[in-house]
Amino acid sequence: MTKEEYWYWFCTIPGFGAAKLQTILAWCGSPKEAFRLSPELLEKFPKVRAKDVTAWRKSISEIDLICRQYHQLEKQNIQFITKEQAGYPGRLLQMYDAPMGLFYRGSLPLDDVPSVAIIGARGCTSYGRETARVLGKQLAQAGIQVISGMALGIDGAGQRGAIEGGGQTFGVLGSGVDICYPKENFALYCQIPEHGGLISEYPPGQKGLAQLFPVRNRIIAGLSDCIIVVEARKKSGTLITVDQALDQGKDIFAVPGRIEDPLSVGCNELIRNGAGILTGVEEILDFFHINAPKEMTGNKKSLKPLANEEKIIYSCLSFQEKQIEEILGETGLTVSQAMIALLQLELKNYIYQPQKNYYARCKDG
Amino acid sequence: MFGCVNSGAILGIDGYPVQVEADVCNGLPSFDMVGFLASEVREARERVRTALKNSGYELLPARTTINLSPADLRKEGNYFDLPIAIAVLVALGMIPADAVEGIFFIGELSLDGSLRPVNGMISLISMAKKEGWHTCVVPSVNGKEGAVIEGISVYGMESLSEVVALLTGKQSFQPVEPERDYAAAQYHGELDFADINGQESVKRATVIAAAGMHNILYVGPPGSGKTMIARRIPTILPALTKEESIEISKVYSICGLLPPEEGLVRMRPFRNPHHTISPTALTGGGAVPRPGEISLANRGVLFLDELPEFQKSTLEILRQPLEDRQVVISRVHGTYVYPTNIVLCAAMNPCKCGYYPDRSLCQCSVAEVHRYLRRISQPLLDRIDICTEVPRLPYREFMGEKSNVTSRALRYQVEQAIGIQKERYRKEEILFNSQLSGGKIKTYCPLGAEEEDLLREVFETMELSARAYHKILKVARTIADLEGAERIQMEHLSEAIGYRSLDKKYWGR
Ligand SMILES: [Zn+2]
Repeated sequence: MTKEEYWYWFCTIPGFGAAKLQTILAWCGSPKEAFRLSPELLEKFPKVRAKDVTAWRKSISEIDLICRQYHQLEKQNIQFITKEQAGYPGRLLQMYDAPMGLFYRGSLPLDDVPSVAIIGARGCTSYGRETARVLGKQLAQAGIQVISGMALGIDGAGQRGAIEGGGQTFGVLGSGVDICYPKENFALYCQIPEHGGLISEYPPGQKGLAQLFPVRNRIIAGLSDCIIVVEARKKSGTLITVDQALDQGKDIFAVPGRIEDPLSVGCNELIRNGAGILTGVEEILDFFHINAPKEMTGNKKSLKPLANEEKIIYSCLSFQEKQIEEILGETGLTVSQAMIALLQLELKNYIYQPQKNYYARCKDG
Repeated sequence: MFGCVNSGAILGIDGYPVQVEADVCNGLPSFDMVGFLASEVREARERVRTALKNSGYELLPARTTINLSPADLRKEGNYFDLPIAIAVLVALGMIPADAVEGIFFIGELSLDGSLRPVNGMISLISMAKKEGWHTCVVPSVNGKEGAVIEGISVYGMESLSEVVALLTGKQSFQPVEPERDYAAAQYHGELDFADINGQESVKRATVIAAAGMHNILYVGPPGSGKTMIARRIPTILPALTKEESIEISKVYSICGLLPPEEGLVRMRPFRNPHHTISPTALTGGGAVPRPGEISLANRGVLFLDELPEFQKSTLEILRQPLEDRQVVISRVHGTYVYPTNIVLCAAMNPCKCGYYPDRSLCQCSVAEVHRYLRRISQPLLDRIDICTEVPRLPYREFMGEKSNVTSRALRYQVEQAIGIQKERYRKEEILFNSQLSGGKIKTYCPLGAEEEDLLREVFETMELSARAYHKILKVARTIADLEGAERIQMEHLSEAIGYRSLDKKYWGR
């Protein structure tokens, strides 16, 4: 067996997380030595239980199959890199429970390029989604790598924005990189490897299980220099990631919200506890001492002049979506006039519909 | 001795003639009935004999045979008591045979000889008129329904003895006075769009739906007034013509649902079956077929509130009737056809708790929101042209007096638009823009270059489905008709795009 095959085996034993493997590796020196470890000795390692020993022995008995799986990675377009190899993300090496190996499609974040995580609620508001998208886009335009979990809501929106901005984004998955979870984000899943990479510490075929997500969140925190929280409910999963990031000594920025918004309770709480207030991408650029790139101030707004009704409607809209009924009430336009103007504004990229018949200004217009 | 009288029965919503023959001759005393009869018709034997006796006609022991023809149709219902009794009396010579010629008899007898009403009277009298009969003798309670059909005399009678007195000329009776002025009796109900403050965009969408008979879906949180608005759709549909009124009433008459003291349904129906309704109750059917809710809503509105709560299978059987505008139920004994010319109107919450996308109130997960939407049957959604969001209005908006547009004014707009469509489609088999399909859309909804460009741009940027394309054109055609415009213009198209149906793919991304 080759060195790589031993590593692959070592990283894919079910039930053995990074911390457990770390102690075994420290004792044995290499996966090759670990392969010869006697079960009696294995049992003596801290936190190793009987079922772990069974899984270990089973994996040894199936070693031929495991080696074959290793050689299939290439066909699946999946790369495998271990902690000991050059190219393994330097940021992760700082972690006491850094993944032993990473599976990825596309590429890995570069060590000398700033890297920011955008995270937040899955069931977010359209305001939150748009904020995340625009932040992702602006960070990408400034050459910053955007890290997230490719989840529904904030995560996915931030990553979509980064792709839109022509930058690099990395999705850390809680499943194997050959599995798209959640399936609603299939389009994003297909795009990310070409604009960054999909990363997982789990071998291909691993399904997305609830208990794996908090574990993967430590990698999101680990790969980032700072974390942006766009929207989070009280006591939500997002805050667990924040705790892990704080443990790793990362800086936290939170987007403030209205005090009565349940989706901003988490963010406001973070701010009260000392997180940075994020009101624009400038705060992040300051953090990295980057100057705002030119294209960020420019926008895609069509240069066609606005008709009178379009101006009236645009001035009545904000980043918070408004239902058409509200717009009619405020502008006094007829349904038909308003519909025409709204459609034109949307086609000219001034506004968008987060939800049918609800309208909001585009943040980046 | 032999007697024969005219009667009839119902198949689907139309009547068909039945001849009732009685033969009384010497032999072993008996009372037999033949002619493919359902059990309730056989029971007429006892009622007729007792009613005759209690009306003072002593039947001597004799061999009596009753035949109902045509023999190939199974006779059902309680229609034949009166015609059987009269046929027997003719056979016994108590009523001259020529006195019953050209007269149509129908009615159930109670044991004391009084006449009880039967269902389906409008269909039966229409049939009698078509058969060329000059007079109908019906139970007095059904008389008012008889007044609806012109050109035939209808006598509403209390009892068997009255009928005999009429036929033998012992006593004179007046036929039911036919209704002269149909339009004056029009009734639009007490509901009015003026009761609803705000919701201008929803009202507008509703007017468009009514003007092109487009099916419409309201999406909005609880308490936003979806049901209030839906209930008022009949008030802006065009006034009923007498023919339409009769068509509606036939179905109601068959189901025994005519309003008391009324011969006709004078308002466009509004039916809102509960979401627990069975498929049969919705579209009609059963061992003895009866019209379902969709046929009771004929020429009016079928309202399905809480759409996602309906069984998918229940909704999917609506597809055919919506397309064919009729329900066809086949049974061994015949084919029943019920009309289903309706505007389908549905309402739903945007998510389980009802408040999506207001995230300060809605705590549903994204998956839950998706799951909720997935419950709606796609085939049904495909048949809904207009979808509009009904927002929750602040209390002050909802209450209080305001000068809102009235149903009467809106109905005028709708009638104008429908008039234009009637003229445009006079050579087609359709009446409304919503019925356009395939090639006809191309013929009747041509676009100018500017409009083509707009539609192309919208399809590219909004990623709409191909199915949405036809719906937008049909709705734009109706909007143009409401404006009296010959061609579909930019503003019509823009507005129609705003009413496009839900696209599940883009819901709550
Ligand atoms: Zn909800």
